[in-house]
Amino acid sequence: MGNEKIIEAAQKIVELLKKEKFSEGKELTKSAEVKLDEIIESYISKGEE
Amino acid sequence: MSIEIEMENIGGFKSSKTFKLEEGLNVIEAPNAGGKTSFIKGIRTMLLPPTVLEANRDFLNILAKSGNVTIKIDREKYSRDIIDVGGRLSVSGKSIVDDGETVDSLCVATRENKLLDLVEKGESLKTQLEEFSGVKYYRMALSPFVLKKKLNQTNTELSRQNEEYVRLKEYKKQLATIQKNKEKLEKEKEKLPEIPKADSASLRKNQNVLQEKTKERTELEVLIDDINKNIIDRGDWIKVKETDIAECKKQIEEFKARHPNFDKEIADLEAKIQNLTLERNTIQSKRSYFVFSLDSIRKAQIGAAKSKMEKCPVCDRPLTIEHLRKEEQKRQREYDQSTKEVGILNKQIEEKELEKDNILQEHQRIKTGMDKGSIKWLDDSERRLKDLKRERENFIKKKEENEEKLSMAKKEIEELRKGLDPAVIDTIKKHSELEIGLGILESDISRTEKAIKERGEVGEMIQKLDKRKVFLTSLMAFFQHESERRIKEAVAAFNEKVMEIYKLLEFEDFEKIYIDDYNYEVNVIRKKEGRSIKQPIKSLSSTERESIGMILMLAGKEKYMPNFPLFVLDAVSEDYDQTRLERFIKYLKSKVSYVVVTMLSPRAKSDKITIKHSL
Repeated sequence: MGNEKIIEAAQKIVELLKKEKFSEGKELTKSAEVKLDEIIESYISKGEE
Repeated sequence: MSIEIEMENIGGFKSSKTFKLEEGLNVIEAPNAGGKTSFIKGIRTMLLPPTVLEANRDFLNILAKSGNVTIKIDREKYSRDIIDVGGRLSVSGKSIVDDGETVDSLCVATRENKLLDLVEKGESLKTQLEEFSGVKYYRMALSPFVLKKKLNQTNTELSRQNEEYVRLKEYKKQLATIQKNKEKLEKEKEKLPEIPKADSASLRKNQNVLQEKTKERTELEVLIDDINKNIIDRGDWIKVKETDIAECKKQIEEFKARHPNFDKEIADLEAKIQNLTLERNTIQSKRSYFVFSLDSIRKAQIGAAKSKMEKCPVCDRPLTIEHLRKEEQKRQREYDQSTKEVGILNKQIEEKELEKDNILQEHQRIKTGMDKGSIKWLDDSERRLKDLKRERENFIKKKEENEEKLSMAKKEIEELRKGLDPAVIDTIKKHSELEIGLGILESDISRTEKAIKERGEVGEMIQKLDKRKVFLTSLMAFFQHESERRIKEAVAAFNEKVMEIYKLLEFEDFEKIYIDDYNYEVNVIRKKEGRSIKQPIKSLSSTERESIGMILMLAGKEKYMPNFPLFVLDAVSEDYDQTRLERFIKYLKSKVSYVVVTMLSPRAKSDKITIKHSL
């Protein structure tokens, strides 16, 4: 997978953590975890294209 | 253009106050306790995230139960309500910026400013640099609750699918064997002679009934055999499950015994890490001093050789080469010792971080995990154990019922055999056995084919999980690399901007001001009597530290918040001399649309808060 896809995915994850106001030592909420999985899956499929 | 701010019950304000800021300089004048800090609190209410405000009751007037701030900027209106809920604040309404904490650190110079505070104490700026450069989110992504968790889940699922793949291969092997056995039986059946027809009608009838009963008996024998296998099978499963459940309970109990007060233990570990970090930072600061001393001693050795110095620069004793050598050796020893201590402390910090991560991970696995050792697995397994015991009892009951049927069939067969040719009876038995055998094999084939079909996507799933594992590993490596790169980049950007601003402000005390990229502490190089002397920030005067703090704020604002239109300079300015203050204001006016400076109003002039505007 190209580095640019990794960078894009990382950016999306950072945006998600910011939006969720995630703080260290805490667990992600269920909905945030679903969104995180969606980001991961969408970039894995982009890598296959 | 202007900014209108309305605040009610904020800080020391007991009612609603309205302020209007014009482009350019806005000087807020008030006597002591006249509302300057409350005005700034109003602005900070619109910047800080709820989590910060909620823990600071003093943002709301002590006598009030609720307050509000409304800001109008460029036709946009923002409003925030704060309510006292049992001594804590509850906040509603959005901040005017997303990165409110960064703006607060870089654009609101108050005595509470985090960046100014760290510079004042001479401490590491690492946390602030992480905040400004967004690295804190990169670190969070690597925490045991985000990507590490996903990688662990992927690895668990991958090992499960690999086990399924091994099973799939076994099923395929079994299928080939069953098909071979079936072919063998079919050949045997072809070779078997036909059942001869009996002479009389009554014998023919008996022969037919015998044929049916023999078939029934063989079927019952096979069925009972199968039930027996199931009973043994369930018995084995029960034993395994009971052992696993006991092991799982033991693991959970052991975790509870090891960590009887989990929250406190984590808090203690965090405090320990903080203390160790503090201790390490102190030693690192001392080390900077040893470097500075060594440098001075070595320079003094050159000076003494040329007979230019009379006193030791470190201890003020009469200067001799012998004395300087001793001092140099002493400082060198102290420097080496502090390097060793920093190394030991770094190792201890790492170990504590790892310990904390491991406990958190184990706790999370037990609490929310699905694998063996988790509460969920234990619940599922206990349910499954109950099912297995019930299934075993049902099989035993079924076995008893069928054994009764078998005994009756055997009795009937004995009766029917009377008067029949033994050769015919034998042929009937062989036919029946072969048919049943073939039936069993056919059912085995269909069961195995079904198991293979169910695992049809295992290969695909393994490929998918492998890709996920590679992606997550690359992503984590990227986050790790990027956090290190970004923080170094932040240090470089700060260092470049700091000197640019320092020159623009026409300050001349220091040759260089910089954040080191090891401890993230501020150091300066001062030109003294033609020599460049490195000094840690702690060794500077309070006013010098304050000025450097302000320059760092301006550098950070230019790098990370260039478009934020407001800069607030609170009572800190009381410590600046007139020239310095004027230079800061001149610089700010050239960079920011709205500059707010708070000042003590001249005595007896007014007891009210006023704003003076000037371009």
